Amino acid sequence: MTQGISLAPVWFGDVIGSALMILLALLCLVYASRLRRARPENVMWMYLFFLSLALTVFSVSRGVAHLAKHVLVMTGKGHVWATLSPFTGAFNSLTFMVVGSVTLFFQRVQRINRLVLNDKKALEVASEEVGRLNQDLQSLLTARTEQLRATQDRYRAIFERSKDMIFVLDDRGMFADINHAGLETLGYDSPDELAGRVSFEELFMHESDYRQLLHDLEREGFVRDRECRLRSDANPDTVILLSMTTCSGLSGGGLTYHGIAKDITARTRMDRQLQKADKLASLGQISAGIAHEINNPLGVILGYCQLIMRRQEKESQEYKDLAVIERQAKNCKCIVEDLLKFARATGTRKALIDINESLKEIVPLLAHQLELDNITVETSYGKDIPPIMADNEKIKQVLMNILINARQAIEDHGTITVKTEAVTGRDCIRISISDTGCGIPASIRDRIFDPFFTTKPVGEGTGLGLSLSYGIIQDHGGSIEVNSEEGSGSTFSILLPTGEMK
Amino acid sequence: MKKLICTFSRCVLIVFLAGSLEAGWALQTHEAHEGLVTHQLAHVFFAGTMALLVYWLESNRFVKNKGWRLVQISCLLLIFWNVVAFSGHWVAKVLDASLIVGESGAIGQRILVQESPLSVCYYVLHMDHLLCVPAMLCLFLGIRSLYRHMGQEKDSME
Repeated sequence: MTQGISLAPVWFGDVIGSALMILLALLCLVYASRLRRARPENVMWMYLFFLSLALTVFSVSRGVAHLAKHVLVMTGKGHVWATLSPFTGAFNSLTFMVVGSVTLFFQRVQRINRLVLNDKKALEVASEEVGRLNQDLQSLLTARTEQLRATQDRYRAIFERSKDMIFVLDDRGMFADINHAGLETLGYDSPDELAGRVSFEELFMHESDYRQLLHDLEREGFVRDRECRLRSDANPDTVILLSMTTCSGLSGGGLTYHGIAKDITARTRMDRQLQKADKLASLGQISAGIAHEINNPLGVILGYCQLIMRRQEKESQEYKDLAVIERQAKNCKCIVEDLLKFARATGTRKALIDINESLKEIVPLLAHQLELDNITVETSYGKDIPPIMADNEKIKQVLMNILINARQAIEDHGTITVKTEAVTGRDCIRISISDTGCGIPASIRDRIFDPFFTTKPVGEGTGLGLSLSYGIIQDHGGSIEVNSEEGSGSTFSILLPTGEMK
Repeated sequence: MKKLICTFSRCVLIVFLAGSLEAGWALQTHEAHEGLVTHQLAHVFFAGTMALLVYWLESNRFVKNKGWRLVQISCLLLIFWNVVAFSGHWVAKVLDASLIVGESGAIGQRILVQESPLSVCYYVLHMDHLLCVPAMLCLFLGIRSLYRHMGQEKDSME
């Protein structure tokens, strides 16, 4: 009977196990190699590859050695195995060490790799953030630039298209920039004509106004709605409503003045005319009242005077005295009638008249006397002057008054020009009577239509001529304008609506 | 990569030169004590690093992935295998050689288990392939699973 138990299971286990170990190790190596090839940068796959490699080396070394051992022993070459055995054993030890070392090494590498990956991820995030911020910044910059350009265009359009004068002065008060409306107001064609060449001070009619403006700007930093009178070659008398501010350090520059001015010349003139019209209307009402009150007693005085005169001898002193009373009373009656005409309180008999014909009747009446006074009369009657609906006698009276005034304005010799023309687009005609006389001083120019205003010595004029002319023209729906320059002469322009309008 | 290979080669050379070739016995009979000690220490080192890997995979939550879980199981089996191999070497050293009858390495060898309890240990501990083969199998399945998982990830990304 055989003692002990057989080691055949161990033997078979060793053979089969060795073969399976080699097979499985090789399969591990194949898949680890695929992993590594797919992601060469992945340290985990690298570790698995080296682990598989070391284990494959171990399995092959051990398995082959064990299989070789069995083969050698079975073939009776046990001594060969005895020689090889230490080598395979040592190699196995070596592979253990390698596997262990790779594992230890891997853990360190993996830790570093994780830090590197974290840093990489953080860098990527930071890079994305920087990229996004950069893109946002660019978008923001583009949007802001567009906004800025739109704003600039908008303000430039306001500046350029404004109907009011907008301007910028430098610290010396010289024009730096001005808009189109400003150029028109001041009578310039281009900003270059003003920029750096003309100072604001030069344009002021009164230097004291400019000094006051500067003083207020320095004190308050601004002025608001200040009425100033400017002069320029194109517009000798321009009235503006000025608002100005001081700006210092704008866009890195020095002190500048920004101003907006509204040209109120026309409005001022209109206001003045309205004031004058109001004044004259008030005077007219007063005059009419007084004239009515005086007219009746005056009629009684004149009637009784004439009644008494009939009873007196014509050669008697009483009759002569009464004649003086009658004459003076008639003078008073004439003045009263003129006042009533000024006040438009008398009736008018309007009919279609040709103004040229009216003038042709009047001018010859004065021509002889004017020739004696060395005054030349020039006439320029317009053709196709439409007829006007007017009281011919009253119009002639107006024309006569103005012609007489023109005659009196010429001291030595001169010219009186009478001109008629149709005003296109306004359905009216213009009668202009110009003289080369002394002109009307600016100080009294607004008062010439006032009743009883006269520059003549006392007793030589009543001061009602222009007043009643004004009243008659107003009664006809027209207007009288006066342009006068002291020393050069005056022009009276009468505008009357045409008959078609009526 | 080249650097890694160089380092690996140097390590192999140092270990090769430092150890005695004559003492490099493994499961075969180790006649020199040094060889056996070196080999046993290699088993301890191997088992220790595998234990570290098991811990590392666990602590880093790699084991949530099926592939790494299999790798972890493989490591545990290799630890047990190392213990078995270590014990096997020790038993083979201390066991009386006369208790194994027959030509060394032959299929017809027998062991006298009645003479010493160590004979039984010798017999059982020499069945170490029952641990190392499943360990390799788990490692293979784990790596293959990781490979397939990576392929799926790539497909889903595409």
